[in-house]
Order: sequence, then structure tokens, then C-alpha cells
Amino acid sequence: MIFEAKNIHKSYHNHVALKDVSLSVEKQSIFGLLGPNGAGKTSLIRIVNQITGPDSGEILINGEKLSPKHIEQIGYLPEERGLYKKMQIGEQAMYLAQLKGMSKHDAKRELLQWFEKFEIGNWWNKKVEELSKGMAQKVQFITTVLHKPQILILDEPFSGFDPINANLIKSEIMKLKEDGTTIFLSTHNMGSVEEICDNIALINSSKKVLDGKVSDIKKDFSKNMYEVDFKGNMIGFANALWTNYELVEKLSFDNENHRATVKILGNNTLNNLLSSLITENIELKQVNEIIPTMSEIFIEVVNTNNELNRKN
Amino acid sequence: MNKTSLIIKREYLTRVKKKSFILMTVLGPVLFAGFFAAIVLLAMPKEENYEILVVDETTLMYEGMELILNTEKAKRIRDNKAREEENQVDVEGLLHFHEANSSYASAIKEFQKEDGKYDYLVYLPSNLIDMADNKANLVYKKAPNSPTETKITSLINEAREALLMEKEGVDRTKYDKIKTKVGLTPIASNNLDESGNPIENKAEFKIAAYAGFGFSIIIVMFILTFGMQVMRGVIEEKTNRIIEVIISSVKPFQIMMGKIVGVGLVGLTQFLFWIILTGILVTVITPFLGLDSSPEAMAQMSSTDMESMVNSGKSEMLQTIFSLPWLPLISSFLVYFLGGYLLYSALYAAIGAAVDSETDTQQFLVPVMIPLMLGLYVAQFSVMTNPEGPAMFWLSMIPLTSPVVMLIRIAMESVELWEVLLSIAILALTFVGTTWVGARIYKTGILMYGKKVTYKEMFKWIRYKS
Repeated sequence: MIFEAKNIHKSYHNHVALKDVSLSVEKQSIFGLLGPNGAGKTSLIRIVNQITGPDSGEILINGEKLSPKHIEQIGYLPEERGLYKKMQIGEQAMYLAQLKGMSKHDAKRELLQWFEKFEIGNWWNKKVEELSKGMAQKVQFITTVLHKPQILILDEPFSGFDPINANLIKSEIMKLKEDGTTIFLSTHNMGSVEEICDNIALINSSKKVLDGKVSDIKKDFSKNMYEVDFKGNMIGFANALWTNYELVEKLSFDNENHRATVKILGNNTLNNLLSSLITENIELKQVNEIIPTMSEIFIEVVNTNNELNRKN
Repeated sequence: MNKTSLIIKREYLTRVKKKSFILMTVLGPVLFAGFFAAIVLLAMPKEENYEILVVDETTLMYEGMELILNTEKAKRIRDNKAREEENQVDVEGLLHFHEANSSYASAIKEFQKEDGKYDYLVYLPSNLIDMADNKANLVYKKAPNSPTETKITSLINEAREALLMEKEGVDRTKYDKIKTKVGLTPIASNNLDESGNPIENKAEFKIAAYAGFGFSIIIVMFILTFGMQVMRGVIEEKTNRIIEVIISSVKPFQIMMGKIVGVGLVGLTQFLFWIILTGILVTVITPFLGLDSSPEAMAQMSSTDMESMVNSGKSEMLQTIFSLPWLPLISSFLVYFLGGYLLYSALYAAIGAAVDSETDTQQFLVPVMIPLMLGLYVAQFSVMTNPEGPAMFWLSMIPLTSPVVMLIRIAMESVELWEVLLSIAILALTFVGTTWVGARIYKTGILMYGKKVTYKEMFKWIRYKS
């Protein structure tokens, strides 16, 4: 494990930000840190960045207790990010790189490469105030990853990018992962979580309420529901189902073509469902399993959890 | 490279490279000189001719005035008792008296005519000579400048004196002897030789005090300007959120100190350039003013040429300025500027960190400015009334005002070395204190957004455990 957080507790003078949060993250993976606004994600990120310290609990990097020397091994792209408006981009990127401990020479060499890669080589002497928001975001991304950190913390890295540049950033993130970087991705964009995250943790009201592999979580949350497209008669379809199935939703495209959403109850399988549907009156066209999106899982977990908190 | 020095370097270079800094540094001394010259020029009377209508009910004084204008006496008025500015005005060429051979009322009508050629109307009531009432009127369309008014007044008085002397049979030379005034020269007791004369011609202490006061104003100006720059820098980093990026690589205290030191160096750079440029300006300009400012000439002037010096107030002032204790003044200026700046800039940094935008700073800025303004105000008052009194002593010890007040005392040379050292020590201790307090507020404040901060809140931040 490259990163472990053990029983982190953090409270500010009037509220608890993190309550007994434990996480572990494998090397060379993308870890999604999810949660509603104000759940405690930023508090956790600030602790990892050593901007603040936990009240109790500890953070281990490669098994070692988090200490100031780790600052140079971490790259952080905050959600609310900015640059000095009146400073030239090259100069500014050099400054930020040197603050991360890079030598002047290394910083310049790496920067030139990245500027080349992002096709912004001719921006070196431009001032930030002359750039669009998306352009500035590119520079910020570069300054975050420039010092080749082992751990990269990206808070909403895609916000402010057009789809083309968002893809560019996405592929760079994947490349960084292939090169061995471990990436924390904090975002509300569930699409990108599904696309690139290997594991996630969901934090709600300062507690971790869900974590695991994305694929496992999705399996766990699937409701055993299928979408069946068929030609025939809706009443006949409903009659063909036993009590072991539940017809959740009906949709008719015309007199003959229909779509039904069916939930399989008990220990029955898709095979059982299909065999009961294959009758003279029904011509099956297409059957798809309904897999919950991360967004649906997010909403479900958070709502259930909030309900629970309210009751207690 | 050390991270704090990286920050100092950035803060320094970005500011020094700004056009506004370069402009202010180069133009500063020129602007000051220009400003000063403009005041002098504007206050100087123009070489204008004035047409004056005189209603003389005494029937004697008009003649007297005309007489004086055209005699040696006129010169005497100017040389002996008239003020400096009168020297610059050629009385004969400027005042033209016209006798009105009518009553005051009809002269007023004449005077008020739209195309009337008269600038002033002087009314001399009949009882003027007998002292029953010593008020005469000067009616104007545009208020007279003070030299012109003084001149007309002294002409009237001179005429009246001459007339009365003749009437009463008083001898002119005797009268002049009686009228001569005594001047008092303040000399410090430790500056006397055996025969009771001053050993060295020390700066006249009121002029010295005002020169010191000039330094106080510069210190206050620098503290306000550069303190505000620190505050604006902090607000800029906070509002464009670059602080979030930087704070993950550097400790808040390093960021704050880097900024304070960087901006302070900018201030010192500007001051240094001002000194150099002013030096150049003075050497270039003084020959044009017909003054010799070389040290030899000054030394000569101050030791041997005293008699002639006293005649001219202007040279006396210059001479005082040149004999000020410049070395202690400039070195203590640097010490007190640095001390005062460090003390106040930590507070400014804390204010910048506590607010979300510059518009929210007002309530916190006022209490920071009050001690500076109070220092200036009380110092100015004390210099006029009691320059070596307790107010000056205490203000030069209290660290919030000592950078403002101590320089005045140093310029007056009315301060013991232990007092200066004690005041510097208190100042140093206090700036360590304000830096500590400032850093605690700064640390919490820079990551706090969208919250209207109160004093109560800030005190809480100071007490947070780290």
C-alpha cells in the first residue's frame, strides 16, 4: 500500500470534519474520493498535504509516517485554484516548481517538454490575465505534475475544460498512472469516476460510508433488473411472468413493440426469466441488465446514510 | 534554494519590475521637488501693477504715502522690517496710488464700476492720525496677496509715523534706536565655550524638529504604502486561490515572512534610490539657485560668515538643514523604518488573510492607522509647544509610535543614547510579538472563505493550537 490513513479524526472548533476515517490505496491506481459538498473531502486532502494535521490517527506513505519530506512526493491540484494574474506563465511555473523543491535547471527542462506536449510553447512570456480559464487550467495541471510526484491529488481536475482538453487531461492522467503514479481523484463528475477510477471511497457527514473496487461496488448495487424489448402483447407479457418477477416499468413504442423493466426476485436467474418469457405470443428482441451508474449509487448511499443519521 | 528566499525573490522582483514602481522611484524626488517648488511659486506674488484708489479723510496721509514711495524711506521699510518676500517686489513699480477727491461713498461707486481700473480701494478715516480709531479699510475685488497687503499696511503706518513724528517733534534716529527689536538665540548648555558663546553652530532646534518631522512623515508614508502592499498581496493570493497551491509546498509562516521581507526590500530600494536621486538633484539644481552646497562652502559659511547669514532667513534654514546630524538620522531612519514596517506589516498581513476582499478591510485598517496618525499629530503639537516634554519621551518609547516620533528627537539632538537603544529594543520585542500574532491569524485566515470575520473570531484564531 502506498497510502494508508488510519482512524483519522479531525474537528474544528465548532464541527467535526472527519470521524474515524481509514483508507488504503494501492500503488499505481486511481482512487476516487467521493462525497457531497462539505462531507470532509477537503479536510482529508489538507491533512494529506500537511496543511493541517489530524487530531488523532495517522497517515502512512509507503509505510512511513507522513512528514515534511513527503511534500515533494505529493502533487496537489486544488479545486479552487489560481495563478498570479500579472506574472508571466513561464516564470510562474518555474517559481511553483522550485517551491516543490525542483532545481532551476530541471524545472526549466521539464516545463519546456510539458509546454510542448500541451501545445502551449509560445505562452511562456504571456501573463496569466491574457489567458482563458481553460488555458490557465492547463498551466495549473502542468505545475501540479511537473515534479513527478508519487502521489497526485486532483480535486475536480476536469472542471473548466472543454471536452477536447478534458480528454487530453484524462489521457495524461492515465499515462501518469501507467508510469507508476498513484492518483487521488476528488470529483462530482461520476462519469469520469466510472471511466478512470479503480477504487473509490465515499465520505458522507465526515464518515466513510462506502469503499471498494468500482466494479465490485457496481455489482453489489445492481438490483437484478433487466430491460426487455419485445414484440407482442403487454398483457400477455405480464401474464407470462410468475410471482417471482416484478414488472417495474412498462413502455410501449407502438401497438406491437414494447419495453418492460423486470426485477428478478428470490434466487431466480436470467435463464429462468428468459425461459418463462419464451412463448408463442412474445417475440424477444433484446434483453439488457440494468447496472446502476456511480451517480445512482452515490445518491442512494448518501440518501440512505442521511436518513440513518436523522433517525439517530 | 531555500523556499523562503524563493518567495522573497518573487515578491521583490515582481514589484520592482512593475512600471508603477520604476515610475514612482524615478519621479518621486522630482515630484517632491516639483511639488515643493509649485507651492513656493504659487505663493510668490506675481509682478503685477496694482491701481489703488485712496480716500483720504485725514487729507495728510496720501501725501505722506506718496512721499515715502519716492524716497529713501521706502527702501528702509523693506530692508529693515519688512519680511523676506517683500524683498522680491519692486514697490515703486507695483503700487500706483490715485487720490479720490470725493467721499468714501462715491469712491465706492467709482470703484465698483464694471470697467473700473482700480484693484483696491483704501479708506483712511479722518480720525486715523489722532488714534481715536486705528482701523482703515482695504476694499478689494480680488483678495490681495499677503505681501501686497503687508506692503500697503506698512506704507500707511510709515506715513502715519512720519506725520506724527513731525507733528510731535520726535527725532528720527532716536526713534529708530528705540524701535530696534532684540532677537533671542536658544543655545544648549552643553554647547557653550568659556566665554558663553556657542562652540559649534548647532541646528536651530525648531527647524531641526521640523526636518525630523519630515522624516516621520516619510516613515508613516512608507509603512502605510508598503504595509498596504503586503495586505493587497495576501488578499490577491487568497482571492485567486493560488495560496491553496503554494500552501501545499510551503509553511504559512514562510509565505508570510517571505512576503513581508520581499516588500520591505522593495521599500528600502525605493528609499535608497530616492536618496541617491535627491542627492543628484540637489547637486545639479543648487548652482542654478545661486547657492553653494559644497561642504567646504557650508563649513565656511557656518563658522565665519555668521553675521551676514543672520540677515537672510532662507540661508539660515538651509544652513540649519546642512548642519543636521545626517548620519545618525539616516541610519536611525533605516532602523525605525524597518522596525515599524515589520511591526505593522505583520498586522497588515493578518488583516489581508482575514478578509475576502479589500472592501472588507476598512474596519480593521482604522485601528492600525490610528497610532501612526496620533504619533504624527501629537509630535507636531509637541514640537511647537514642548519639544523636550514627557509626551515626546513616551511617544518615542511606545513601539506603535516610536518609529514616528524618535526621529524628531534625534534630529533635535535632544535624546540620550540609552533612550534610543531602549526604544529600539522595545520596538524589536513588539514586532516579534505582532509577527507571532499576525502569523497565527494569517495561518487560519488564508484558508477561510466566505466568512465575515469579526475581532472575536480573530482572537479565537490567535488562541488555536497549532
